[in-house]
Formats: sequence, structure tokens, C-alpha cells
Amino acid sequence: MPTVSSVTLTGRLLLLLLWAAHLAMATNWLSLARLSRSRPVSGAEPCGRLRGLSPGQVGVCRARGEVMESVRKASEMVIEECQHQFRNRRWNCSTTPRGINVFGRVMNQGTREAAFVHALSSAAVAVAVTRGCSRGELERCGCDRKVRGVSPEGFQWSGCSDNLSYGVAFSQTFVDEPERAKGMSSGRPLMNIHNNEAGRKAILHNMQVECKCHGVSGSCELRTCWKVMPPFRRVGAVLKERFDGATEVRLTRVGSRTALLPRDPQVKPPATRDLVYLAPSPDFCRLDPDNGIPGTAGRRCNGTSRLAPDGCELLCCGPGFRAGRAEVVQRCSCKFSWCCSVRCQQCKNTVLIHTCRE
Amino acid sequence: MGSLSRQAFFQELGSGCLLPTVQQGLEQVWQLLLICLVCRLSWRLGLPNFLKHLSTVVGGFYTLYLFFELHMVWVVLLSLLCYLILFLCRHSSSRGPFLSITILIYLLLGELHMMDTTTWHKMRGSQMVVAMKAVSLAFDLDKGIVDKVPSPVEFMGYIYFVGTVIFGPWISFNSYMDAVESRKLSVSWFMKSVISCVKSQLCLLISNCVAPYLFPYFIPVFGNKLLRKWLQAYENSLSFHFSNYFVSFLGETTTTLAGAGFTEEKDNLKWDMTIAKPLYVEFPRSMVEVVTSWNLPMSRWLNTYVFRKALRYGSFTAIIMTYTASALLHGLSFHIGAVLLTLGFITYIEHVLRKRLSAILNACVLSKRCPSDCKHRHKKELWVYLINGTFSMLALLHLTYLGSDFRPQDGVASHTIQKWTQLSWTSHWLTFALWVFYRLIL
Repeated sequence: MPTVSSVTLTGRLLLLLLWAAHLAMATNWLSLARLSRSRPVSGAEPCGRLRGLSPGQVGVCRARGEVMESVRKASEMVIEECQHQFRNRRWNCSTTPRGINVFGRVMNQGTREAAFVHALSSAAVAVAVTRGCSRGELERCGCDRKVRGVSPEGFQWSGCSDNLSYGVAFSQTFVDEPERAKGMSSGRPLMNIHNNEAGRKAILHNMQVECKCHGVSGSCELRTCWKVMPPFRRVGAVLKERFDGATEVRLTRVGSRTALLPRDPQVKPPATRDLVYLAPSPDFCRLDPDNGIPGTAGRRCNGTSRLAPDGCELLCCGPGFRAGRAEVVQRCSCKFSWCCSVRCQQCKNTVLIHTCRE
Repeated sequence: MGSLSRQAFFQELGSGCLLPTVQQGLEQVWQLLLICLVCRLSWRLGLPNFLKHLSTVVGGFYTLYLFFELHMVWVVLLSLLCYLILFLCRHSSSRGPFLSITILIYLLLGELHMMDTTTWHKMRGSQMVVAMKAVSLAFDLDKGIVDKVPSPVEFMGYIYFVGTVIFGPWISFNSYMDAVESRKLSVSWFMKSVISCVKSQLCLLISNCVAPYLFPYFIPVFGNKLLRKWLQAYENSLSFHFSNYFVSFLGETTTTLAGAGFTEEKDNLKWDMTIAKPLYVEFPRSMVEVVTSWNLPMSRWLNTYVFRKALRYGSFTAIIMTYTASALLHGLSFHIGAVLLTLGFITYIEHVLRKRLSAILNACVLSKRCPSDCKHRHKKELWVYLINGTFSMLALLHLTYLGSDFRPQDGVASHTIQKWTQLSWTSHWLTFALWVFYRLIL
């Protein structure tokens, strides 16, 4: 009897832990990037089998299946852009070997890094869906009718401005849904929703203007102009700046509501476009497989700078780095050949490569 | 949901694109149209010619300022330089070549040294028109078509004629002097102005709101990756074409409104200025037809003042020199130069090939439509239509290829080359193949 009772208890506990972990990870939909190309991401039955989606997101998937291909595209954009923006930092958006939690448990700890990824994710969905609209790949959306009147620069909007409002609305529906499902009275969902909205604001505040020239033989006596989305790399760069200036906040009761206010009372409350976080980040120095942190051992670093984030002392968390020589083959003496290619010679050079000690 | 989404798209297109485009189009040109009309009406007041010339100079200056602000000094400088050369060479018989070289030097200096690209690019349309007017006047003086150097006020009136100073087109000095005579106001004159204005706005709408969304919104063709590239190239091309037609019809409007652009036969006056023939470009018989239909006054100018004078060096050389002159008038843009040079080769090879085929087959397959009394034996057989149809399809493909990379801003050389590489240099290879074929059947 003791044996039977012990097994039953352990099973129940494990089930509860798994359920809680699943529910808690709001960026699990990023695991769509791990699906093979041939795997469908729309249709009632395939939606139910996508393990990274929350129940509400499964509902969106079933109801608006035509948009899900854009969401898959967005997940790929997030991982690629994150790894680009953090390529010189200790945590460089490394992905876990498998599973639905693409970046590991660091996303679940209310850290500054989690703030960045949430903002980037919501922006990516808005961008990918809006781009799908502009290319005519998605039905039910067309031009953005809200962009009209005279711009501050003095020309009138015309042409089909990218229908960002559609993409933003979908991003709010899809990406914010797991947070709202958890309720709005605890800190983590509030933080995530704030950062999601900051991501969408990063697009809105960086729209670019394109113009068409009309004039004798293509000269520019007269112009018609419209707005287009910035390239996603620019959105990533903007959010990286927000990341560098993120505000640490804590949950505070204000009357009958709860709000996120700066932990340090001297700091002004964050604006809607600022990133916020609840907990300090780990140092990301040592290997920690349980939390999905690979550490910096073996990373290449910048041996000539002590101040850059990829400087060896910073990246390697101290003096634990070494220099080695390597022979690299580089292109040199490039010449333009008519018509029309560039030909280069292959040159061998010896370079000094610094890496963090194991 | 498909039909609903289409309806939703067109609804939003109307409010989000059609309306703002018309608004913007008219907003930027209504003052120009008004000044043209005022000028026309004032010329009907029986003023002495001196004041007529002066009034159009004032109107011209004001519109130049409207469009270019202080950068208009470059246009003014060019015109003053031209008059100085004409005056200093008033006893010479080589004013044409000399003035051409002077203008060329001025434009090259301007392009390379004097100011930033954006500003120069904005004004080069007007510079081009001024240059063409001055050159044509110089050559006409050499030939005696114009009997003496005009007075300063006449010259400036011609150069700054408010009907053509911004959007062109080029008109000859004698046409301008005819316009100063000031024909009666009439219903046909007014209708011509209104119809051209409506056409220009229509073309602007097509350029801005239809062409960019042709596939798949207007024509539900999606295509695979390869076809998608060509469909997109066609959209870009069409958008550029209709931007050109917009400016051409606008030029017709301003010219007619200001009182020029008519032909007179005995007592029969026709307000019939035509700058571009869109149908001949969009449904071309040949690239030759496209080239002449794109801008008739410029085509006439190039033929009269460049091609015929260069013909003594051979027809191929004359064609290349004509396209070179055209490229220089358009400014030192690698992109435009590359397009025009390519166009020159395409046009020449098609012309000689069709001429040869016409001789061998004794059929109406020339680049230009045969007159009804031509001597060819085969005129309306099915295979004659097939040959002409094939060349028409080729012309469409060339137009798509050449127009595919016209962008709001001028691209650098690598952009043109990149775009043509994307399309596998198709037109270049096809032209080469046709040339080989032509050599084989000589």
C-alpha cells in the first residue's frame, strides 16, 4: 500500500507542474519557427496539435487560419532579429535544443531580456501580418484608410499606406491573449502587455515616407507620397535602445487598481513606449541548462576593447580568456569585370582570435 | 469572403488613394493653370506685343518660383547664358552647334559640381525644356527659318512662356510667335483644355492607385516566383508610363490654356496639341512606334535637330547620337542613360530586321504601319498578322523590362544592373539573338 500511494502522489504532482509551466510561458508560440515547412498551421485539427499555442491562440488559429502563415513568419523574424541585436552580448538569444520554450526559462522570470523579446514578438506579428496585407496574400484587409490629411512635412497622403492598423489589431488579439487569460492583477501579465504594446509603438513611431515623382521624363516637379513600415531591422534596433534604457518596476496598488511603477521612486513612470521589467537578470556567465543559459565559455570576444559589450573582460566575466592564432582566407584585390560581376583573389592572412576560456 | 474582401479593398482604395491623389494632383497645379488662363485672357486685351511678352515672362517666373523656389536661379542662369551666346554670335552661321556645346557644358557642370542631386533632379525637366528651346532657336536662325535674333523680351517670353515652362513641351519659336497673335476664345479651345486636364488626372490615378495593385487586386493572377517578378516589373513599368502620360496631358492643358498648341489651315483653327499617345505605347506595334509616341514634341525635336544633322555619318551612328543627346538632356543619370542606350540598340535592330523581312517576304511587316497604297504583295494574310503580333509581344516585354526599375528616386548604377540581373538580362539577350538572326538573313 505505501508503494501504490507514493506513485499516485508523484504522478499528480508532475502533472500539475507541467500544466503550470505550459500555461505560464506566453512566448511559446515562437516554437512555430521550429515546425517543418510542410507542417500546416491552419485548419481546426492542425491548430489543436500546435503545442506552443495557448487555448485562446488555438481559437484564433481556427477562426483566422489564413493569417497563421504570417505568424509563423513572424516567429522566424523574432529569433533572427533577436540574435542579431544581441550578437555581442553574453546572452545572445541562444535557443534551447528542443521544446516549446524557444529561449528557455529566462523568458519566464520577468527579466529585461524577456521584456525585449515580448516587445519584439508583438512587433514581428504586426509587421508580418501587415506585409501579408500589402502583398495581397491575406483577404479582409487592404489599404489603411486612417492615413490621410496633410503631413507635418506639408504634403498630402495618397496611395495605399501600409495597413498597419490591421496588423496591430491582430497582434493585440493574438500575442496579448495568453496574458489576459492570466488576469490583469498580477505583475507578470501587466509587464508583458506593456512591453507588447511598446513593440507595436516602435513600428508606429518609425513609419517612413515614400514618394513617387511626376515630371518631364521622370523628373520631380510634383510628388505623391505615402507611408510605409520601417524595415524590421530598424524596429529591432529601436527596441534594443529601449532595452538599454528599460525601467525596473514593481506591482503597486493604486486605489482599487494595480499598476507597474518604478521600483526607484526617483525614476519617472515609464512611458507607453518604454520597456519595463520586474526582476534583475542573471549574469549569464555560467552554463545553466535548467534555465536554458549556455554561458559564455567558448565565445569569441573583442580583444582590443575593454569597454564594448563584447570586450573580453566583460563578455567572459573576468580575465578568463585566451588568444589564439588562426589563418583565414579573405577576398582581396576585388575588381569589377565588364559586364557585370566582381572578381576577387583569395588571400591568406593570420589573425589573432580571442575566445573565452572553457 | 473573397468577393467581400475585394469590395472592401476597392472601397478603401477610393477613400485612401483615389481621393487624396486627385486632391494632391490639383492642389499642386491649380495655380499654374490659373496663371496660364490669366495670361491667355490678358493677351486678348489688345496689348502691344512688348507687354504680351513681358506678361508671360512674369507669369513664367512666378510659376518657376512656385515649383522650385530659389533654385529657379539655375534655370534663369541657363536662359541668360543662352541669350548671351546668341547675341555674341549674331553674325555667325554656326550658332546651333556652338550653343549646343555651351549648354552641354553648363548641364555637365551643374550635374557634377554645382549642387546636390535631389535639387538638380527636381529641376531637370525645366532645364531640359529651356535647353531644347534655345538649341532649336539657334539652328532655326542658322537656317533662316527665324530671320533675325529676337529681342531680349521676345527671347525671354519664348523661354519663360508660362504654358510650357514647367511641364513642357518644347514648342518652336515660330509657334510661340503665332501664339502671341492670340486667337479668339472658343468652345473648342476651352473643351480641349478641360479634356486634357481630366485625362491628366485620370493618368495620375492609374499611376498611383491602379498600377501598383494590378496583380492580384484588379487582375486576379498570382503566378509563381518567376512570373511574380515579371508581373511586378510590369506594374512598375505601367506606373511609370502613366506618370509620364499624366505630365504629358498636363503639358497639353497648360499649353492650350495659355493659347499655344494649335494648327491652322486657311481659316480652320484646331486646338490639337498632342504630346503622348498612350494607346500606341501600351499596345505597341513596334519599339519605334513606342519611342515616337512617348513624347511627340521631343521626338520631333530630336529628329529635326539631332538625327537629321547626324545622318551624314550613317544611320546607325545617327540613331546612337540621337539617344545620346536624349540621355544628356535627361541629365547624367546612369539609369536613364542605360535605358536609353539599350532602347537605341533595341530600336535599331528591330527596324533593320523588319525592313529585311519586309523585303524578303514582300509583306507589310515594317516597324511603321504601311500606308494603304504600299507595293507589298502580302498585307492581310494570317501569317503577316502573326509576325506583327510577335513583334508587338516583344515590344511589350522590352517595355516591361526597361520600365521595371523606375523608382521615386534615381537609383545608383548597381540598382539598375541588379534589377536587370533579376530579370536575367532578357531584353539584352533577345536583342542580341535578333541581331544574329538579322545577320543570318542578310
